[in-house]
Amino acid sequence: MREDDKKEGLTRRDFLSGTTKAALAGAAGLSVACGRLKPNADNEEKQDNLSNNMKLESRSTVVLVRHQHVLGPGREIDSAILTKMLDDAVAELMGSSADNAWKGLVHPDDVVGIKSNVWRFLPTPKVLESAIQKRLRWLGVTEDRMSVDDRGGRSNPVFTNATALINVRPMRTHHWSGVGTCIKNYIMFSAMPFSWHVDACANLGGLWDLPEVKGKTRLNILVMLTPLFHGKGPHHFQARYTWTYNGLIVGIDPVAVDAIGVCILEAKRKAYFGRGEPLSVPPKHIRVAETRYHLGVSDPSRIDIKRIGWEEGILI
Amino acid sequence: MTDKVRASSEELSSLLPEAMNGWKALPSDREFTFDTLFDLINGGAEVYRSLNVQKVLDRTYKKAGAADIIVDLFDMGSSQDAFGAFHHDIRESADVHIGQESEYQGGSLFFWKDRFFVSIVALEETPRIKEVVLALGKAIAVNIIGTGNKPDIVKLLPSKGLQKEQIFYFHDWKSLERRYIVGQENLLHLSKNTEGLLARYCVMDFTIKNSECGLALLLIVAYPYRSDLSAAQQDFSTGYLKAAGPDEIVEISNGVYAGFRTTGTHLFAVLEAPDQATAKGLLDSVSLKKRGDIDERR
Repeated sequence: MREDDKKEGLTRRDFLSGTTKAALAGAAGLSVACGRLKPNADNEEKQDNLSNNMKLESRSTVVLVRHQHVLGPGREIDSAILTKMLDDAVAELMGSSADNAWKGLVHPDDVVGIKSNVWRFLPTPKVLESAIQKRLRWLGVTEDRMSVDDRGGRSNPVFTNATALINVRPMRTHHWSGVGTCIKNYIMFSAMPFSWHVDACANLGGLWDLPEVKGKTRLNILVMLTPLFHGKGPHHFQARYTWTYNGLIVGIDPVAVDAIGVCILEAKRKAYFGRGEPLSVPPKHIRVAETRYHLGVSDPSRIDIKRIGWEEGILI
Repeated sequence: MTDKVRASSEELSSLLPEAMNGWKALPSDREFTFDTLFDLINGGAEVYRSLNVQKVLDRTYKKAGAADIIVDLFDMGSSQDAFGAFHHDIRESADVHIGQESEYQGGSLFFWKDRFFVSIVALEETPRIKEVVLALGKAIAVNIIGTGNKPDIVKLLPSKGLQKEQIFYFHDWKSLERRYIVGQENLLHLSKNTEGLLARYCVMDFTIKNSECGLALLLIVAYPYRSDLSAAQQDFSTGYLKAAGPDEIVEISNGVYAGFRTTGTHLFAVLEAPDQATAKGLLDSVSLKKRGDIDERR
């Protein structure tokens, strides 16, 4: 670890709103719960409704899939491995074969918007978008009834007429909301994205009540191939603060998917900085998505993680 | 505060080289204004908007088989706000002597010069890319002919114990709130017309074992009019300091002391100190600086 990084971690935490004990406790809240997670806990509860109309049960399940060779030495993605990772995760999540699992998620008559993320420093990988599209074609969804979009979603006819959404984006720290998450990925459905920035973007869960979105999301995929665990500057990006985690977190419940993503980022920050380093802005919106918007489960101790594949450096 | 000036697109563009060591600029630059900056940096735009950003030129440099390098040239309208843009982040790495203050870290270079704040970010970090990023920065800094002054209130910061990497310059309440919560409302009556500094000090704290220093936070706010300061003083005292008057140091929570003092149109406040003596010492030091500043101007 570099001396300057160590110093950054310590001082940034202290300076932000942050010297007060209460603020520090809030920032570290998810970390505390993350430590109680058990590997591959069984989830007895069935996810019998795949949309956001689902009744939120007291527990949620996510799948964490990783593969040692999905990234090459230059971080180029092996599309075949990534496609299989996605299929394996969906199958594990739904408790059936990959084919049946996809059939359970999307109907051939659906109009499907794939909500991607085009942030140029860490975009949703094109090969992952393609893998999803390939699966939709296989299901019988025609080209005119599927589209990949991010910032154009509000004017894209497939999105405005969508009956189903698949939400896919990379995980990263974020200087305004603490972390860039599946919950946050719907901010471009708002006519005024900046209006969601108050209070560390606490109310982002409310985006999921917008008419363009409400009840349509079938699957959330948090891309953990090369997550960003720290950053500074206008873009909040430094290549040094990404690492090859080689994973995807997949789930129906966006809050649970994001909460587990945060646990992994926090574990990485602890490993890198040498001690527990709360995110510079607490990821308040994840917890508020549960407590205020009842969107899912934010407490990691109530989230069952099904792990598939490569275990080295799993951090959770 | 100085009057804002804004460079034309051509002027901004002329400050950036067309190529550097094999990396070539893409043919089309992107330009953003105060109103459109969200399109470039989403939530981060709030930071630069609060510091009166005028225009931003975004240019990508490409080289086959190598990572992109992205340069953003922020015309902040004044050197004071360029200073603020640079110091929005903690600057703990060594100055690489590009522009008036600079930092290279993790494949990125940040610096300010005159009224410009410059961000150079490479998508990968290698020794070769570091060379190019630094060369780009030097070229841009040379092209910016002038230099600018730091905010006047920076001169008021006592030097003893000051952690120079953590000097935070701001105008409004929302910006301060991102760094430090002083109550739930705008107790300090901050606005786009106020100038504020929040600085961290390393001070002796005998209650902490095996620690080199404790923490103290000094806040300086310059108001445009004495009447603004009076209103702020009243609310700040009531809302944060248990109704303590000027020069009265109070324990605001267990082992945390705070107090304030005013001079002219300036408010000096110690938001946190480990003991009364430290809080009073900081207020005395900043007052002394202020008196020296007034004497110097006479």
